[in-house]
Amino acid sequence: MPFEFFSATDPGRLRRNNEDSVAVDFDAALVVLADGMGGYNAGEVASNIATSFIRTELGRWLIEAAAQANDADVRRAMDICVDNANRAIFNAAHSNPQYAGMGTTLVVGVFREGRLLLGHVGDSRCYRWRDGQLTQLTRDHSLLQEQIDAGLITKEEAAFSNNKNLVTRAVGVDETVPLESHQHDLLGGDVVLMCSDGLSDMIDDARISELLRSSATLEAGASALIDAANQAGGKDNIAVILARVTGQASAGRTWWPFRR
Amino acid sequence: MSERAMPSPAERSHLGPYRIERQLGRGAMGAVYLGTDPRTGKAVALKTMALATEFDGTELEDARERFFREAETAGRLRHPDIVRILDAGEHDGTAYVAMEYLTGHDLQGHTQSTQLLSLPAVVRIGARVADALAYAHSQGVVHRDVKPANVMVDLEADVVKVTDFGIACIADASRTRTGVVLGTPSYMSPEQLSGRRLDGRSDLYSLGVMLFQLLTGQLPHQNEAMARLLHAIVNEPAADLRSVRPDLPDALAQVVARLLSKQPEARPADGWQVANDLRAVAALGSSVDPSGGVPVVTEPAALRDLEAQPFATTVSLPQPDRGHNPKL
Repeated sequence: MPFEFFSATDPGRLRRNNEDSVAVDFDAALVVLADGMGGYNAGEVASNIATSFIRTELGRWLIEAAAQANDADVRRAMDICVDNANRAIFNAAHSNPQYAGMGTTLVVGVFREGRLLLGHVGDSRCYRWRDGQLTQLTRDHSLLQEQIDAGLITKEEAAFSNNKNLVTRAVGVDETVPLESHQHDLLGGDVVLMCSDGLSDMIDDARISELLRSSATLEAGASALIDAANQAGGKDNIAVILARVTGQASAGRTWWPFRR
Repeated sequence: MSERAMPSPAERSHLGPYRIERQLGRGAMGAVYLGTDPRTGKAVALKTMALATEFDGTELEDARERFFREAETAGRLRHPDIVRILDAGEHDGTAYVAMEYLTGHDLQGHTQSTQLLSLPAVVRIGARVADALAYAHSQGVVHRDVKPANVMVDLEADVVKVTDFGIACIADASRTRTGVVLGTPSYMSPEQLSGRRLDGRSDLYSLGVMLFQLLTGQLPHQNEAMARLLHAIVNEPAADLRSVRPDLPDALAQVVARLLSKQPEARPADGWQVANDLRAVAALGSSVDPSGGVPVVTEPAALRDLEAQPFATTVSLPQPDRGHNPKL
């Protein structure tokens, strides 16, 4: 079940530097996305450590071991690599006062036959787009999401909250970080989207779905998403990874990238 | 794609009129430096925010305006127990706030059950914080982030300072992106968590949580799952102080319970009332306890220290006190 990948970042309209980072290892079918935090370029440092470290370490392991490894093995390898990346960022933060407190969100995905092994920390997201329907696969690690889960505010009220962008966990700020990971099924024709909140805070799910539907290629889809986010204000850096499951679609389902 | 046009303060010698001595660490928005005011020779803390590397265009103007407006609001607060904001300015794209430089440490260290301050110390610190909050509220400023990490004390110098007043708002100005990792929302009031409008009584709730923790080493609501914790803060009654420490005076338990009321209307109307209630508890303690509310010590050196410091740290008692385990 081969896959196709495309990744892109954009600083957005308002920010001078780009603290989002993306990495793809095509051979290992591994993708990593990170949205860093910290003043000056500390966020850039944190997110780049996360993506390059995990792409290198987990990528290497996957190339060597994936043929014999089962899903539990891969998820364990994912945990270990994220743990190591966390410690690398944490140590860097403590060895240089300019980097103190830096951290990053993280989304990491390993694509296997018929399934996606997905891990995340923070409020960067992963969606699956199937048959014109967009489903959010990750639950934000943010105070806002916890308030919604607790029934204290509604999704609509969340848009006006003062607590926006308060994440409840991040990579690099503590000695350890819990990675939330799950397995999701994949069918031919599925498109998986990973993004930082620079995208999801600017355009809503309906718009994302519409843009995916009307794009001929992954590259066109990524451009369209970034342009839409910028047109809506571009208040933050934007990072996007798109993956498409090529291969057989079952009868009765439409092929992507056919435009409607 | 990123331009590093301006040097970071680390590469500079001055911010405005202030000479930079060294970096102290990092706050939520940027590096914090120790500086000197050459006009007075006094030490200052310089909190910075790299506006021009974060924002651009009209957003930069907005951020700058918000920053200075909040600095001005916070600067209006003049109270002995609130950290003084002395000045705010911008230098080469870096905005800074100059504040009085504090010695001492914050109360976070005294929230563990093995590091608790004495009862009289907690009550006296609580009263001073309540007074400081009452003053700020009367000036129209709500702190919104009252917690042990935001109260600095220097026990030997009898200093209590509430920090980060208004700076929380300045930090808001920079939070258009993922930028703050929330440690725990446990000090937030029910109305804060429910997204309602806040007034000073929200700070009083947070003070109640802080007092509870300083007295017991625990939080009034605890749950490993954050969503359930938030739900509990809003919907479930707080633990009673005496369920954890039966030795504490009833009057104190009642003050804390009132502060932890879900409804702001059920809490004391202002910080002055809270301060009065706490001082009444302190007075009660000294009239009942023959040692005058001050822990009795055996070592003469420690006794001398006690006379010098009104806020005595926890010391060994000659006999096990009811409600306490003997010190190992």
